[in-house]
Amino acid sequence: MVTREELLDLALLSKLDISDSDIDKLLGDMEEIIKFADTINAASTGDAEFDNINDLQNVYREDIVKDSFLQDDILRNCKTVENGFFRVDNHNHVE
Amino acid sequence: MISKIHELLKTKKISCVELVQKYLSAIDAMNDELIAYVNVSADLALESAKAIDEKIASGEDFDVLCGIPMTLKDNISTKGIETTCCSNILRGYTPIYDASVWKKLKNKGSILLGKANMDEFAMGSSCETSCFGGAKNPHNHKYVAGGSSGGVASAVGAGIAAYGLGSDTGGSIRQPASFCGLVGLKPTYGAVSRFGLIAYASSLDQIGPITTSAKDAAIVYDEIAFKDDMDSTCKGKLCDTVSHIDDDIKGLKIGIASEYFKSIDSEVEDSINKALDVYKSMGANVVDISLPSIDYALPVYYIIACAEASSNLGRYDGIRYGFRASEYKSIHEMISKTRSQGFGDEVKRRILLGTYVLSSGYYDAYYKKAQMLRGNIVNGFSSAFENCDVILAPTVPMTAFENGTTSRDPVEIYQTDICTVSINIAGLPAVSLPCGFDSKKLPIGMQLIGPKFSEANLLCLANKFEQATDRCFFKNIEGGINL
Repeated sequence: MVTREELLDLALLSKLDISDSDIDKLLGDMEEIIKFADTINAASTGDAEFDNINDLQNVYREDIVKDSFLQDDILRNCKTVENGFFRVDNHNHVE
Repeated sequence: MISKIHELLKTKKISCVELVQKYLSAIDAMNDELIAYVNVSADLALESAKAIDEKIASGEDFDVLCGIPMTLKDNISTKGIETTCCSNILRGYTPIYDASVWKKLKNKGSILLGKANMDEFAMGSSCETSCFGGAKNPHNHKYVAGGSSGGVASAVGAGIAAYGLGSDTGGSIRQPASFCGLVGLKPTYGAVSRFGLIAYASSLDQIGPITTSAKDAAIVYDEIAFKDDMDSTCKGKLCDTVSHIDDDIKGLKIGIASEYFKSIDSEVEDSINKALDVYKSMGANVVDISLPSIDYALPVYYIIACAEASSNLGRYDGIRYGFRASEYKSIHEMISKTRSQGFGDEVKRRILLGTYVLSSGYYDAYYKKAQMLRGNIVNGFSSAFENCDVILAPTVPMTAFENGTTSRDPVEIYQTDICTVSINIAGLPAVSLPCGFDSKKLPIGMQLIGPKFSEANLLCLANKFEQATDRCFFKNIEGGINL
C-alpha cells in the first residue's frame, strides 16, 4: 500500500512533479504494480546469490590521453550556452 | 533477403541507387499508415548508395552487407541524425557519436533508411508508448507491431527495410518479431556492444537483428558481435554463425519446460507442438525439463529493470540536451518540470517503481531479494542445460494485440512478457521465429533458447525449421520490396 505522502516523497526523489489531477490515477497504478512486485515475497531464495551475468571483473586501462570530443560538439545539443559552458538560470524564467 | 540483394548488386541487375529509391518510394507510400519510421534519412541514404555504386563499378570486392538498405531502432545513437528514443524529452537530440554497432555496419556499407519507431525508452510491449504513436502490424493494420522494437519489426515485416537492429531488455526484439512473422535474435548478454545504445536497464539490454530469415540474422550477428573496448561488458562472439547455419541437428536434445506453457493460447500451443514434430522428423530428440525458478521471473524482471531505469534516466535534466521546460522558478523546478512534461506515463510509472524498490526500508525486500532470485533463475537454466541443448518455448502467449488495448491496466500488459523476460534475467541468447498463423491470419512465433554464446546452434536450428517448412510461415506484404 502506497500512501499519498509516500507517493509525493517518491516523486520528489525521482525529480517528477505530480499534478493533483494525476495523483489518484497514479496511486491506483502504483498499488497494482507494487502488489505485483510483492509476489516475490512467497519465493524462497535458498542460498542463491547474484553478482553479475558473465562473471565480469573490473576492467582497467592505462591512463593515456587520447583524442576526445570537441567542446563545440559537446555543447551542440544545449539550448543555452555561454562562454563555452552550459548555462542554467536559477531564477524566475519564462520563455 | 540480404544474400539476394548482394547477388543483384554484384551481377549489376540493379544499382544501389535504384534499390534505395525503390525502398524510399515504398516508405513514402506505406509509412503514414504504418508509422514504422519516425525519421527517414533519404538524402543520406541516396548519398551512401551513390558511393557504393562507384565502389561496385570500380570492380572492388564488397561485403555482403554493403549496399543493404536497413533501419535502426531510435535508441541506437547515430552521429548527426536525430535520436529520440521516441520520447518528447529527447526531441531534437542529435548524437555526436555513432553507436559501435552502427559504426561497424556503416563501415561495411549498410545503408540507413531512417530511424525506427519504438516504445518510449523501450518501455512497453506494443510500441504504443511512443510519442509518435505506435507502429502498426504489417499483416493487419488494426493490430500492433509489438514492442518495444515495433518500428523495426513493422518496417522489416512490411518490406520497407531489408533488415533492422532492435534492442531486447525483456523481449523487445523477440516479441515484435513474433507478432510480425520475422526472425528476431536476442544475443547473449555481452556478445554485442551496448556503446551508443541509450540505456534502459544496463544489466539486461542487448542489441540484436530483426530479419526475414535465420541466415540473414546470422550474417548481421556475425558483424555486430565483436569485442569492443567502449563497452567493458562486451566479449564478442564465440564463433561465426553463418558457417554453422547448415550443421546437422540429428540427435540434438530440445527441452520443453511446462512452466512456459501456462496460460498460453491454444492456437499458439498447437503451432508449437507441430513445430516439435518437424524437429523430431529431422532427428532431434524432445525431452521434458523443469524450470521452477522462472515462476517469479516476471516480478524479478520488473523490479530489476525499473531500479536500473530509475538510475539511468536520472540524466535527463534538460540542461545538456533534449527538451527543457519553458517556465520555472529555480533549477530544481526546471528539472522536475522538464522531466514531468518530457516523460510519458509509462516511463514515469517505471521510474517511480524503481525509486521505490531502491529506497531505504524497501531495498532488501524488493531489489536485494529480486537479485537473489535472479541467481536462482541463472542456476535453474544451468541445470536445465545439463539435460538438453536448447529449450523451445512460445515467444508470447498470444498473437498481436488490437491497437489501443494496451493502455488500460499496466500489470495486465506486463504479464504478456511472461515467456521472454527470464532469458534476459539469465543473460542467455534466444531466437524467435515464425511457426504458424492464428485464425485471424496473424503470425505465431516460437523461441529457441540456448546456453550463453550458443547463437550458432540456435540460428542453425531456426534455419533448419525454415527449410523443412519451405518458409511457409513467412509472408510477403503487398507494397513492400520483394526482390
